[in-house]
Amino acid sequence: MGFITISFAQDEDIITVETEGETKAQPNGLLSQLPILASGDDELIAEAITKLAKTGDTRLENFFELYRQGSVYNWPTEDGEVRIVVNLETEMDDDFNEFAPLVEPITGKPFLIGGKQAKPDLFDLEDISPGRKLRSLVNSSKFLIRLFSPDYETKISGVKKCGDPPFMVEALGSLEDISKDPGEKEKIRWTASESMALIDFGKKTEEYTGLTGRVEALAKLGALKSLRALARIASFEKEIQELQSSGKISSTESGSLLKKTTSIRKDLESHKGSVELAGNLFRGVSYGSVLILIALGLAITFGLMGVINMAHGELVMIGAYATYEVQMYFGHSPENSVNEYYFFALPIAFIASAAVGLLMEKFVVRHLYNRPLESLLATWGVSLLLIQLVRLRYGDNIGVNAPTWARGGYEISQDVVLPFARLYLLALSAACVAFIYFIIRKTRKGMLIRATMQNRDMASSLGVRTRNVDRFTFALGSGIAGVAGYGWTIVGGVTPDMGTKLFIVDSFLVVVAGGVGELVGVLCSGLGIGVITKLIEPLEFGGFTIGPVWGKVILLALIVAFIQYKPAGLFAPKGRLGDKK
Amino acid sequence: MKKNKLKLAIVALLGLAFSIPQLHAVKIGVLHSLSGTMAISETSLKDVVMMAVGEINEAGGVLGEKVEAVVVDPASDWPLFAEKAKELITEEKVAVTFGCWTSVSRKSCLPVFEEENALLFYPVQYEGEEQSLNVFYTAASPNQQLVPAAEYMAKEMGCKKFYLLGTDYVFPRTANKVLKAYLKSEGVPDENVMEEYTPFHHQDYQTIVSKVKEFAASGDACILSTINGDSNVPFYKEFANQGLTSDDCPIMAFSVSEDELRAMDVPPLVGHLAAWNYFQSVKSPGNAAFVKSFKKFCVEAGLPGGAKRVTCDPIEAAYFGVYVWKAAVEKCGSFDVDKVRKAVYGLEFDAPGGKKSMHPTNQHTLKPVYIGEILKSGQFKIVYASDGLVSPDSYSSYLWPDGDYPKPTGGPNGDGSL
Amino acid sequence: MKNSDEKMIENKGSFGALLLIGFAVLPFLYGEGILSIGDINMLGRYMSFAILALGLGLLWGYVGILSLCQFTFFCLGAYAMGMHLAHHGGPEGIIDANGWKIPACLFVVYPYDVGESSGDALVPGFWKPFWNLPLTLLLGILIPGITAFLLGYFVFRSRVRGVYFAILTQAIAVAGWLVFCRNDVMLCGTNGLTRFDVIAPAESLHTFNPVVAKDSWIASHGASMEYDLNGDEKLDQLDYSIADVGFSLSSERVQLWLYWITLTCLFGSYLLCQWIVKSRLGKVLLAIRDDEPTLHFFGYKPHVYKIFAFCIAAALAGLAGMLFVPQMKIVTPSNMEAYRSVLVVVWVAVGGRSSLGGAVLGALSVNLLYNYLTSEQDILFFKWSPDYWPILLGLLFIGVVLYLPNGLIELVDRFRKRFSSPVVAPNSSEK
Repeated sequence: MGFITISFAQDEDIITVETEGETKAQPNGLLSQLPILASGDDELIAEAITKLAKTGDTRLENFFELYRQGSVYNWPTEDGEVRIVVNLETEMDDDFNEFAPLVEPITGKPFLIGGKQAKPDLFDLEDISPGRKLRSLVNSSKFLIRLFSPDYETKISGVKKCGDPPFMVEALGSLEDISKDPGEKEKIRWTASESMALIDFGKKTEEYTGLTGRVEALAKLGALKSLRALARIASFEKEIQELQSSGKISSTESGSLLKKTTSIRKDLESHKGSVELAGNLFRGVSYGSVLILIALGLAITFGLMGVINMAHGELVMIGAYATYEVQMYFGHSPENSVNEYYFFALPIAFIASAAVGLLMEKFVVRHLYNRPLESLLATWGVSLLLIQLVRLRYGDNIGVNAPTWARGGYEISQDVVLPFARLYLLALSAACVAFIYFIIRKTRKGMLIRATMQNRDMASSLGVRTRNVDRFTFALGSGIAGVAGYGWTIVGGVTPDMGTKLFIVDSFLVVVAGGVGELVGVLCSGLGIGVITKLIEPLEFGGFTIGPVWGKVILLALIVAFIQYKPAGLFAPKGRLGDKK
Repeated sequence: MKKNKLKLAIVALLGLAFSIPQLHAVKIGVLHSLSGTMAISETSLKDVVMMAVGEINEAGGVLGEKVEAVVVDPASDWPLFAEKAKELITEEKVAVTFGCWTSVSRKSCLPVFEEENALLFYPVQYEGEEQSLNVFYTAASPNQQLVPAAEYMAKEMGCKKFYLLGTDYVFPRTANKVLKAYLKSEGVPDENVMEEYTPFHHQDYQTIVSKVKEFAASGDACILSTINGDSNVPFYKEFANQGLTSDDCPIMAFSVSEDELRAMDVPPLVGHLAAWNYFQSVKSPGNAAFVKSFKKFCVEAGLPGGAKRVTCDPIEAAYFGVYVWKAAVEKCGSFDVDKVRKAVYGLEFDAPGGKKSMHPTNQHTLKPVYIGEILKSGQFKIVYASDGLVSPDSYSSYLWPDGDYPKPTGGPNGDGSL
Repeated sequence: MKNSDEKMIENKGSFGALLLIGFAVLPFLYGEGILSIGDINMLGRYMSFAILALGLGLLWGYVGILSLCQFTFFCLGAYAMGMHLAHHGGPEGIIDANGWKIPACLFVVYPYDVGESSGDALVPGFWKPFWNLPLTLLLGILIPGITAFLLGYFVFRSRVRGVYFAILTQAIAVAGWLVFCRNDVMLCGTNGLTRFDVIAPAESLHTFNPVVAKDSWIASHGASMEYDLNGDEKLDQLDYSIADVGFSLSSERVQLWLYWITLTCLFGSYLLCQWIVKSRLGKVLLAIRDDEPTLHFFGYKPHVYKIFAFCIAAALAGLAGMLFVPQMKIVTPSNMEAYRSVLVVVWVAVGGRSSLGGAVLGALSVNLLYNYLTSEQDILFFKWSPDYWPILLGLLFIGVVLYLPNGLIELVDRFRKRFSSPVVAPNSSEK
C-alpha cells in the first residue's frame, strides 16, 4: 500500500511509533483503510469509515473532524501511489509565499520527508473531501468515537450528541456502559442516561415497539428533568393527535397518552421556569456588576470631585488596550496560552489609566474644578484626542484573548450554568468596591479626600495639600476606570471608540440614579438597573417579546421617571455638589 | 509607527513635488471613514484601494495616465458622506469614486452621485433593493449569500430549527425577510423559526444566548446571524462562555469575515460558519499573489497589524473594483462616465478569488458563493462552493413576487434611462 | 454651573456682519462662480445647525439649563419634513390598497407580520397628515414643542436641575435614537427617509389625500393613456405622483432658495431670541440662571419660565430640522445619537455661550472646520492627512475652554473693542 512505502522514507522514530501504535495492534486496521478514502467509490469509502469507527481509536475523532472539513488530502507520489495526508492551514514564509505543511493523518505529527516536514505547494494536493451523504456518516462516526475519549469535555459532548437527531441507536450499548460505570463523573453518567432515553424517545413509531415505549422513555426523561426532552414534547403530542385523527389509535388511547405527556411537560416547564428565573437573576447581577465596575471610576471623578469627565469611557478603553499590550508581551494566544498574563494585566491597566488621568488632571482638569459644565467640553476634546491617538497606534481589529480558564462555566444546580468569566467579573467588581471603600473610609489619604471634597477652604487652611489630594483622587478614579476596561476584555470587544459608544451614557446614568457622591448609591443603582433590565428583557406579551431594544427603552423611561421622583438620586449628595445646589 | 507616518509624509511630499510638472494624472476619489465607528472596517478598504492604485501606476497607469487617489474622511458621519462625495466630484473632479461601507452611507451620498452623474464602486454586501446607474455594486446581493447559506444549513447540516439573530437595521431585516420566505418555501413550520434583533453596539448577550440554548436543546437548531460590527465579539464570547459549541448549535454568520475574527478568541468558535463570495483561503494562483502583495503592502506602509493583516470579502471586492474600472476605461478608451458605465456592463475579469463578471444590465457582480468553517487560526476552510457564478438580483424575487421590479434610477438623464 | 459674574456679551455688530456676509457676500461669490451651488447648499445646512445652536444658546447661556437632547428635537422636525418629502418622492415604491403610495424607503423595510405579503403593506396612519405641506410645517414645530412641554412640565416641576437634567435629557436622546432605529415603528429604520424628489407639489398645499389629488388630476388631464407615465398600462397613483411636479430638489434655483429661506429663518430666530432676552422675560430667565431659589422666594414660578424657554429651544430645533432635510436629502436616526447633542453643546461653547451670536458663530465655524479638516489638504509644505482631524479638533476644544472661556465671540469682541474704544475686554468669569 502506498502509505507504507512512504513510511520508510521517514524518520526512524516515526516508523517505530507507527509500528507500535497501529500496525502491531491492528495489522489490518487503521492504516490499511485510509487509502480507500481516495478511491472515489462512495460505497467502499462508507465501508472503510464504518470499519474505522468500530476500532474505537480515540485519535480518529480528530481525523474524522479533519476529513469531514475537507482538510484530508491525497498527495500522490510520482508513481501515482496514494498518500493520505492532512493539511490544516497554509503557511507563509517571510516573502509571503504560501506552502501547505503536512501532518500525519492519525498521529497529527509532522509528515516527514527526509527528516523535514513536507511542505508542498497547495496545488499538488488532491482534494478527497467526502460528499453530502458521507459527511453525515463521518460526523456521526466522530461522535461515536468521542464516547471513548479520555478527555472529559470531548467525552461529554459525544455522549450528548448521540442523543440528538439523528439518534444514534448504535451508541446505546456504549452509553449504557458509561451510565453504569462508577468511575465516570456524575454529570457524564447522567447525560448518558438522558441520551439513552432520548434515543428511545426519538425513534420513529413505525420502527419501534410503539407509542407506549416512547412515553415510558419520556417518563424517564421527566424524572431526569431533561430540558432537551421538553423541546421535543410538542411535536410528539402533535404526532399522537395525527395518529388519532388518521384512525391508527383510538381516542381513549391517545387521551391517556396525552394526559401522561401533559403532566410530564408541566413538570419540565416548572423546572424550566425556575431555571430561567435563577438564570435571569444571575444575569441581572452580573450585568449590574459590569455597570458598577464601569461607573465606579466616574463615581469618584464626577461624584466626588464634580468633574463631568466625558473622557471616562476612554480611560476604560486605555485599560483594555493596556491589557492587550500585556497579553502581547507575555505572548498569550488561544493556541499557546500564558494565563498568568491576566493577573499581571490588572495592575498595569490600573497604572496606565491612572497615568493618563494624572496627565489629564495636570493639563486640563485642574483649571476647571469650579466650572463643571466646561469640564464637559474640555474632556470631550480629550476623548476625541485619545480615541484618535489609539486608532493611529493600533488602528485595526485587535482582540484580547481571554485566559483559557474563563471558558465554560460552573453548573451550580441542574441547567443553571454560571460562566466563569461572569463570576470573575463579579468578584473583580466586588473587590474594586471594597478597595475604594477601604481607601476612602479607612485610610488617612481617604480622610483627606473626604475633607477636601466637603470643604476645600477649610481643609486647605488646616494644612491639607489640596492640590495633591485632587491629583490623587482623580488618578484613583481614572485607575479604577482602567480596571473596568481590563475586566471588560473578558466578556467584550476592544475598539478605540468603545468608551464613547458603550460606556459613557450608561455610567453617567448609574452615577446619577444612585445619587452623586455616594459609593453605596452606585452599588444599588448598578445592581438595580442590571437586574431590572434582565428581568424585563425576556418578558412576553401575547407574542410580542420585549427584547433588548425595547428593554433598554423601558429602562431609560424608568430612570427618567425615577429621577422625577427622586431628583437627587437614590442617595442624596453630600459632596461638593451637595452644598452648592 | 510614528516614524513610518513621518516617512510616508516625506515621501508624499516629495512625490507631490515631483508630480507637479507631470500633469497627466487622473484623479479617483476614496470615500472611506478613517475615524469614527466604521473606521475599524473601512480603513482596510482604503488601504487596499491605495495598493491597487500603486500597482496600476507601477504598471504604467491607465491610458498612459498616472492614477492619483484623493482620500477624504467622511468620519462615519452619514451626512458628511454626501458632503465629501460632492467635494470629490465637483472640486477634485475625480473620474470615479470608490467607497462607502454601510448602506445608509451609500444612500446618503447616492443623490449626489445621481445629480452629478458620477460613478461609485460600492464594495460591501448589502440588502439589495437598489439599482442606481451611478453605482456598481461589487459585493453580494442577498441571493448571492443568504439563500445558499440557509440551504446548506438545512440540507447539509440537517438543521430543522432556525434562530434568526441580527442587529436591528436594514440589512438584517431584509435578509431575514428573504430567509424566512426561503425557509417557508422549504416547509419549515413557523414555530421552528425565531427572529430577534439587538440594538447597534449591543454588548450584553446573556439573555439571548440563554434563549438560544433553550431553543437548541433539541439538538437540531442553528443560528443565522446578521449581527454586525462590534456586537459580534461579546456575542461569540458569551456563546462560548455559556458552554455552547458548534456541535450544539452552529452559527452561520453573514457579517463575520477573517478580519473580524482577528478580534476574537477563535478556538471556541471552531466549526462555526460564514457565507461569503471570497475567503483568503480560496485556492487560486491569483489569490496567492493577492494575499502576498496585500501583506507586503501592509508591512511596507507601516500599517497597524502589519503582516498579520488578512484579506476578506469586502477587501477583495474593493480591490477588484479598481481593476474593473481600469479595464472598462481601457475598453472604451475614455474616462467619460457614460462610456465607462457601458463598458463595465458584461465585463469579464480576473479577480483574486477567480474569474468573475459584471452583470450586463443590473449594476451588480456575478460571483461564486462560498461557505467556510472557522479554523483555529482564524481562517476559513471552504466546505461549500457554488457551481460556477451566481447571478445577482438587484431586487429580491421574494419581495417582488410578481417580478415587476422598479426601474433603475440615476444615469445620464437622471431618470434611469441610458 | 453658576456663572453669575459672567457678562452677557452683546454682539449686534458681529451678527450684522455675519448677516451681510450671508445675504450679500456669499451670493455674490456664487454669482461670480467662486462658490459652487454645493458650497451654498452646505452653508445652508450649517445655518440650519446654527438655528439649532441658537435655541441651545438661549437655553444654556441665558437660563442655565443644559439640554443634551437638542438633536432629538431637531430630528422630530426633520422626520416630519422627511415624511412629507418621501410622500412626494421619486417614482420607486408601490401603491397600497387604499391608494396611498408607500415610498421606496419605507417599502424596503416594511415590517410584515407572519403570513403577510408585500400586498398587505399599508401606509401607516401617522404618515398621512404629512402629505400636506402647511400641516407638515405646523407639525414640524408643534411636535418638538409639545414634546418639550410635556417633558419640561414633569421635570421642572419636580425641580430636576443642572447635571441631573443634562443626564436625564441624554437618556431621552438615547431612548429616542433606539426607537427611531427600530424597523417596526415604521420610520424606515437606520437607512432613514430618503429618495426625495420635489418639495411642495401644488396639490399638497390644499389637499390632505393623494386619492383626492389624483382624481382631480385625472379630471383635469382626462383619463387618456397618454398620461400613463410609468408605463404599466393603467392610470394610477404612481402616474400622478410622477406628474405632480413641485420644486425639484436637485435644481440649483431651488437650492439657492432654500438657502435664502434658511438664512431668513436664522435671522428671524435670532431676532426672536434677542427680543426674548431683552424683554422683562429675559431678565427673569437670567435671574433663574443666577439665583433660582431667591426668585422662587419672590413669588415667581421658575418652572413656568423654564418650560417656556425649553419649548422655544425645541421648536427652533424642529424648525432647523425641517430646513435641514430638503438640503441634505436624507434623514437618518444617526442624527439622534447621544453624542450629536453633545456636539451642539460644543458648538455653543466654542462660539461662546454668553451671547446669542456666539452660538451661531460656533455652529458655523466648528462645522466648517470639521468639513475642511476631513479632507486631504496641502497647507504650505505640509500635507494634512484626514486621520488627524480629531486630534486637532480635540486640542481646539481644550484650548477654547482653557484660554477662551467665553468662546470665540470673545475674540471678536476684543477685536471690536480695540478699534472702537481703548477699554480692555472684561476678564473671563473664573471665580
